[in-house]
Amino acid sequence: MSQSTIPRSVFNQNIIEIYEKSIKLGDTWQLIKVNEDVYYLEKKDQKFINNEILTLIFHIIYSESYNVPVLYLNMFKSNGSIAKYNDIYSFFNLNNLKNEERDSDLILTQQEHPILFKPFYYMHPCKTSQWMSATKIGENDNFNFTLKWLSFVFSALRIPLDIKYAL
Amino acid sequence: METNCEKDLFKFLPFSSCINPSFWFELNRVKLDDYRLDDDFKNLKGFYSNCSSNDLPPIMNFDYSSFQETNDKTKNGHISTIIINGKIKIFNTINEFNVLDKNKLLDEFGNAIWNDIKTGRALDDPNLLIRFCLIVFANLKSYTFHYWFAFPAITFPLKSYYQLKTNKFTEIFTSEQSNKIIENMTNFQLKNEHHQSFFAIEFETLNVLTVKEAIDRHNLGKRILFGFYDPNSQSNHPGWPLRNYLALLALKCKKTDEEKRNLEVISFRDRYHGGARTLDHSLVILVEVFNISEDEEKVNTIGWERNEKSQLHPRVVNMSGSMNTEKLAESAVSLNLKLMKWRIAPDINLDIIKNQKCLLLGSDNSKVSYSNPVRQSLFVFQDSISGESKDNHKSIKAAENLKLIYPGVNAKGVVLSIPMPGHYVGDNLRSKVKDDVKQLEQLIKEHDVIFLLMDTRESRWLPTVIAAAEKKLVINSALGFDSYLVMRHGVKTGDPDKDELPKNFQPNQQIPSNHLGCYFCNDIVAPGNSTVDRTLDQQCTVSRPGLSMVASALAVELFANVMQHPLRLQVPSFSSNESISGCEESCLGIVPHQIRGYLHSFSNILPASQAFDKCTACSNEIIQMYKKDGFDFLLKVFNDPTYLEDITGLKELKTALDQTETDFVTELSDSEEFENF
Repeated sequence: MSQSTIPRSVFNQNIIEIYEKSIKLGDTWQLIKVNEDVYYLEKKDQKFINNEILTLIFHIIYSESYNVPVLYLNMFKSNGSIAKYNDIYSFFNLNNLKNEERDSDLILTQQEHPILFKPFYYMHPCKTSQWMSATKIGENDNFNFTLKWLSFVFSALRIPLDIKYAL
Repeated sequence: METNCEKDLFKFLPFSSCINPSFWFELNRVKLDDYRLDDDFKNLKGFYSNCSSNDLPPIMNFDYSSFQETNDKTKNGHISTIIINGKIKIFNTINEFNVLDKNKLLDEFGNAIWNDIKTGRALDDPNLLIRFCLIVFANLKSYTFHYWFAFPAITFPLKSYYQLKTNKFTEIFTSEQSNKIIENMTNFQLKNEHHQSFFAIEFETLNVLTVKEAIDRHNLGKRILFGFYDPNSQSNHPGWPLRNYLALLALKCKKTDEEKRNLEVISFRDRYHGGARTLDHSLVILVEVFNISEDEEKVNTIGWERNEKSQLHPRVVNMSGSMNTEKLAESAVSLNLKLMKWRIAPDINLDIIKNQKCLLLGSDNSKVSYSNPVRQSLFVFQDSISGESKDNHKSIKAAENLKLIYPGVNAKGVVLSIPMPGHYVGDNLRSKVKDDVKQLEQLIKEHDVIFLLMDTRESRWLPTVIAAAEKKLVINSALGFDSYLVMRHGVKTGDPDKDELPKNFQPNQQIPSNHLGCYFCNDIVAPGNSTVDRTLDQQCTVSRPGLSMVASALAVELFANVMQHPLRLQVPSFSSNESISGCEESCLGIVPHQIRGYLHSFSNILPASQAFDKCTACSNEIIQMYKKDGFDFLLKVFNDPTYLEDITGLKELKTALDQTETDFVTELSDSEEFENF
């Protein structure tokens, strides 16, 4: 099975494109520049559940070792305390996954954020290039790799993504 | 929505504070590095948006950038985010935090706002109308934070604002006008360094004006709608910023002869539908505003945030789970193990190893020497250059260094001399040796598994005997120059019938655990003083450096395999290499009796041997004598190891062998008929 990976330069272009689309669509992605080479996308979402304000933060970061985008996320309450495993799992309905599905990429595990060095949750990128190549639609070289990746990842976590990003 | 003819007392929805964990990390750093003991008020920033979803209360957000003086240039923020300037005071003690006069503090803030309104500062910079105050006590050891936000709003006693009429934005403005306003608003905001929360719209021209300009025009008779970025999208009630805004307008707008007049206010709420910015959720409210003068007697201030239980109390958050690095290390390690369980070995029992108490006997009762660090990975150079004090003993250092690797480990080093057979105990040493034995007995009793890692054969004797008597698991590791032995001793059940060794041992049989041999079972010579009459290289074991790593690793993993087996200590072994597939496995694999490895061929074999009924360490006779006579028995052994050969019957065996030999030789010399054999 062929491997689908992208170099950092393509990733950076991808996320700049997503950010520009986000502004047009009135979505809330922010583009964060760490230095000349390193950029990432951040989105914040707040929900009111069980009388609690829950904040979700999503980061799309480039993985140097796997050459693919990787999703980091965090969930915290209004007092700043970070959600525990169980909370994250039940929020994204991952508890009901069968064993085979558990084995797949959908596992969110806690990991130190590579740029902020704080505890976050992330989706391990080891299988990303594998399933990205399996879902290749056509030979269109101009498709935004990161956007396509994001649409799969978000739909797996049941987070809405405006379909207009694809236009 | 219908126009409301009755007047309603205004309900202003207060802010809910929302803290990002990065705020606490930054506060921690800032207090330790910058503020230190300085508990004065410092600047802090908060952020709110007028573009939130319907079901959210009005939120003011705080994160690490709240502490930054200049705006975070790395972030390209959303246009509907307003930056609010406030103050933070970090107390040095919880007592100061608690006894602070909260009402007085709030009044001070309220008076400051009122002053800004009176002097016109608020007209020049209306964003000053929204401010906040945060008091914190940070316990930087336990990572708990006591905090309380206040969003000061001035109120005038006996005077209230009434909401006369509330219209949807779309009822007052057509969509064309709405779009024009959006355009003008964008241009207006571009002129300012910071997004303005307060503005006004001139109805005639749809121009967006500053508050100062707007009040002038209003006072000249133009129809002006005073607007503000509303943090509340939830309902027909405006958010908190309107309170102080109305006070400003009440003072600065032209007064009439009547006590009250009406003003139009826009609760400005952004929304994006299908990519287009709309103001459909905004409200236009007709407000009844009373006259106030600059000499108002008393300015009341409200605004302390209620806690999760709606009480006027501070909030507490425990961030140790995310900030305490030791806890983070612990949860990372635990996660690693869980992943092992989820992905590879679902049957693994993670708790069982965690709960084992391990006793590691080794390190030859000395301090770390210069040659140790390169071969013994737990020690570093620093350990070998400190003096002769007890703190530098290998066992103490080993326990300390384990904590450097994993702070959550429960490790303690004990300096102890293990008495040995053949090492004479003089009268003056007797009571010390007795204490050492007692200490060793106690240690063995308290632990679940004993690892024997010494470098002499005889030093393993006493622990073997005690552990056999206590029926503890023993994992033994011994090194040669390039060969190693890692084995588990057999563990008796205590039932003499079961423990009795079968006479007809077959080589291919599985050996149950209580019949397995110990380190001494294969010897017919009792352990004696091996250090006498030896040269230096014979006295200390010179081993290939990598050997100890390999042997120790195998010792640990053998232990793991034992513990994962349902029978644990009682797991039997198999007898020959070929029958691996047939024997009982734990979920981690087979549980051999011995692993003998050879570096020169990079190979190992897995023999198993039955216990020797005349073993000088684990045989029935020895164990019974030890249990019966205790230290007296041991003393005899220490002073004369051949005593062991006597009691086990080894002496007789050897004598019998010697005699057989004599006959054998005699036979040969008398007869030339070899075929008689």
